[in-house]
Amino acid sequence: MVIYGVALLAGCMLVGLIIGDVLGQLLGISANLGGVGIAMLLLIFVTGYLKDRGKLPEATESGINFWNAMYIPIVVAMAASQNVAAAFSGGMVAIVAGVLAVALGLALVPVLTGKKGDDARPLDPPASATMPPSRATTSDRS
Amino acid sequence: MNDSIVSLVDKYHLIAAFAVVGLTMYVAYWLSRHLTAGRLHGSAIAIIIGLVLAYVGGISTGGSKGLSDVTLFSGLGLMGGGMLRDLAIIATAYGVRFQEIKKAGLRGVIALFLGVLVSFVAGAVVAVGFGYTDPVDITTIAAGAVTYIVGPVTGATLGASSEVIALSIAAGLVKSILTMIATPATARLIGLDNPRSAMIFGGLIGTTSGVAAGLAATDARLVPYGAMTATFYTGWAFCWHRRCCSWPYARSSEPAVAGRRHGDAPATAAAPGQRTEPGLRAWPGFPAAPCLRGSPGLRAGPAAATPPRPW
Repeated sequence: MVIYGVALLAGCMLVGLIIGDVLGQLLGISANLGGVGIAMLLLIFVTGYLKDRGKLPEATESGINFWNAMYIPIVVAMAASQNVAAAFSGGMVAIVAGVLAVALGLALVPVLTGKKGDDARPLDPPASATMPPSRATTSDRS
Repeated sequence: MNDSIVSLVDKYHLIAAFAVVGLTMYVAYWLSRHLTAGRLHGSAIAIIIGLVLAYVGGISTGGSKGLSDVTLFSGLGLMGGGMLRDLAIIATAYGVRFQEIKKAGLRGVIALFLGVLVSFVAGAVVAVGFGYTDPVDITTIAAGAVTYIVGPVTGATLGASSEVIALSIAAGLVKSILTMIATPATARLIGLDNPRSAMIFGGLIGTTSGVAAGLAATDARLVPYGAMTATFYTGWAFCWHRRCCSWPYARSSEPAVAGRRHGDAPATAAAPGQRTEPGLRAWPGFPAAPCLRGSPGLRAGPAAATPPRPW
């Protein structure tokens, strides 16, 4: 059933967030330390385990895939509720500091990535020029 | 008639948000196909439209949540809020092979450490360049350049003025919003086309919303890798903030409280509505030691130096 997939996703999220919270408390910070990242790892392991045993029917999968496909629309909604006005009204100090932080961060990506070996192969080129295959179907549907 | 429509849309705000976002994406993908011949990704255009609408909404309402402050579009706040965003981010991990994550793991961790450090230094250098000399102001602005969540907490802890705190939030917002736009534009240049570089990117930039949107606009298949490291960033930045908050005091030989500009005890320095961490009470004396040591003990007293493990 579809709800099994959604519930599995929700369960991973809650367990991950709880672990992240505990980690944060252990380190004495009030923030959640990587709860979402832990939840992602949990989902990878749990679905991998279930799939190997053939216990992940298509309907269950579609419960997870729906939220996967809703990712970009949710990000668009997130962009639309950002405090863009405050970012621009902050003055030059804020703009220069933000720009410099992003520029340095982006510039360091190739430095840390290093020489591209076999393990840093680009993903296969998407089927269409503009969209990766999994997303192409999503956008057509939306 | 108009009133009843408005109240209806307001009542079913999440449903209205689905419709609005769907329409935005349709327009964006149409523009991508017909105006840019597919060169500019449809999702990149959709995110830019979203940011422009957020600017318009913020200007017209004076609120802090972009377009979702407009009554008609209040559902966008729920749809794009932390809860559903995190759920969708986790869902993108479905089908990812753990091997890819493991291979880039160490570099991801290095990126995480370097990312917070580089942003902090960049913010500090800019603050000094613009003539700020007070360590409290410099630290607050620098923390804002790391992420806009950490900036105000740092400022409140140190007793920075509200103008400087606003500045630090703005710096973090600029970083987050610029990431959304600059990532797809520079992706090819910085080799952002594989899981490894995506994990490094997530660790270096760190603001979850910026990374989430930037990678969505570049290649959505990279999202789980970048998000994986980015979600650890804020937590690590809070660790860093514990260290950097002790910096202004560490530099002066005066007693910690005398070094405060506003004379308040740390626990009361937080602005109303700000989070005050329990550990902050012990702040001025907090040694500049890695947060992995010491801090839980500081909170719970010397007797509990080794925190009980729940497992």
